[in-house]
Amino acid sequence: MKPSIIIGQYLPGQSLLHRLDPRTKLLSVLCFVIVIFFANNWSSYSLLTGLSLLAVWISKIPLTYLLKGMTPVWFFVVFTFFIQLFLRKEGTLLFELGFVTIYENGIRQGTFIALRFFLLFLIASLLTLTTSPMELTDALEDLLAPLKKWKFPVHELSLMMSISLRFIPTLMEETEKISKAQASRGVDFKTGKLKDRIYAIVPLLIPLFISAFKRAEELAMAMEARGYQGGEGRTKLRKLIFTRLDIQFICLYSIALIMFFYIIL
Amino acid sequence: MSGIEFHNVFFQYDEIDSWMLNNINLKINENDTVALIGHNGSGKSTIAKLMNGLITPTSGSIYVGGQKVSKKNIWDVRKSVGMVFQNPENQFVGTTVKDDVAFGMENRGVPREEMLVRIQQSLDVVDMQGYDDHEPHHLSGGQKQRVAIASVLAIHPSIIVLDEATSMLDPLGRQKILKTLQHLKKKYNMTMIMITHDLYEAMLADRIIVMNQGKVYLDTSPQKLFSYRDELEGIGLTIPFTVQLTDALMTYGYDFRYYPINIEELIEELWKYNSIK
Repeated sequence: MKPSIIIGQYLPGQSLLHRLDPRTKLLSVLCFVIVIFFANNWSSYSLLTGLSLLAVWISKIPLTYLLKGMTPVWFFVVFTFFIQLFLRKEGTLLFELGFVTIYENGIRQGTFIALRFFLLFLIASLLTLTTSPMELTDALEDLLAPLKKWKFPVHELSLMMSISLRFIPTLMEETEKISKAQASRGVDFKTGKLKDRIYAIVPLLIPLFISAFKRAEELAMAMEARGYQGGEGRTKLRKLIFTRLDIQFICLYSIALIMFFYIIL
Repeated sequence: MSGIEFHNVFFQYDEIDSWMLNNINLKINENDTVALIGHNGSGKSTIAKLMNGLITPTSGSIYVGGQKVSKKNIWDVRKSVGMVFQNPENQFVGTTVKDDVAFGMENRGVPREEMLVRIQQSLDVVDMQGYDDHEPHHLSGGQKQRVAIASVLAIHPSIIVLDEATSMLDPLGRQKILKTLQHLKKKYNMTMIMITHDLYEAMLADRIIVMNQGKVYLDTSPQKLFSYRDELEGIGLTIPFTVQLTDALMTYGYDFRYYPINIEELIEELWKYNSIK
């Protein structure tokens, strides 16, 4: 299997990280994303890196798999590093060649920002790798539930998400079928100028849209026939369970965060 | 109380269109299995949608379980009428089998513990036990259709309407669905309405109603259906092979005691044909 980009993919498993309540995971990641912007020195960055690597280790997902899956992201990481490296002109001068100057702060900031970027991607990938899209949807619905007070359509939003998730493979199959059908009629998707190839997508998209609308109509009718009338008075089969494992995780995570703030202050 | 009555029902999709249903008067008794047959555009699917209040008649009235269907009690009607549609893909709402079976129950506010029990029961009935966590794209059309039947059964309806539920399936998937339906018919007290353009399938029913151009064309029993051969062919329905064969044999002077309506019965009649005489 060649992982092109792994953020958004799900790798089923039974590790501790897989078994955590998706709400715990979602909030922890959110927390991490905010906290990482407060990191300002070597020790705080090493703490966060250590935490992330620990999380990877617990998830039982091979680090090499993760790193390979981030290939497209590496470019940005390296790019931000060099931007910082060349443009920061503070601290002691380390190296000079013509108009290229490298300062101590450039290396420092370059490493920090590249590392920040890298860790954000790593943690986000880890979230989706250990949490199924449906679990994420449920967690989101549950966490956004208080917004219902202000008439925010939480239930509808999560239903939309789950139906989209359910129809992704269906529409992929359909795309494949249509592209074969159109190719057999002489549409060329693979060669020619970029402009021609973009035009070739039109006979693919139009039938796809038409069938998607048709499906939507039939699905709506089937849902209505099965008594769907909005979120009011509905019960739910899916249930999120907050276990002792979550409590333990939150305790350890909080301790780590306290340590972090102790370091930066 | 789970019969269905149609009183002078007219229906058209648009004012400029011709009548899809033209003065339908029907009475379907409780616990009957009725097949509605006819070619495309004969109005048979329209009847199905009317029974569940998915569309409302242009004029006339419909009674389900003795209650007149109106805007007010439409959700009560839908509680007692379960529908299975034609396309297996487009009626699968949940991300897994379990979620899909639960969908109807969730809508009706069934408590979670009850749902878990009913999911197992209804998956058992359609012979899909153990598929709880399967995702729809890993199921065949026939399996998806059986899940659709399970999700209808889970809400314990008194009437089940199958709107061409087998027309998009391969022969094997279809056989399995028909077996499931036969099992349901025998085991449960349920009014079952099968809409189909397949005469062989219609043979499962106790009563057959043939539709043509928005009108009830014939109302008969499966045993008598093929005495209307010319009429059926006249409105574009194909006579099943066994029936054609039987008729051909009869013209050659074979005389059956009992008119066979499927392959098994025909074989049964044929292999002891000489020994009886």
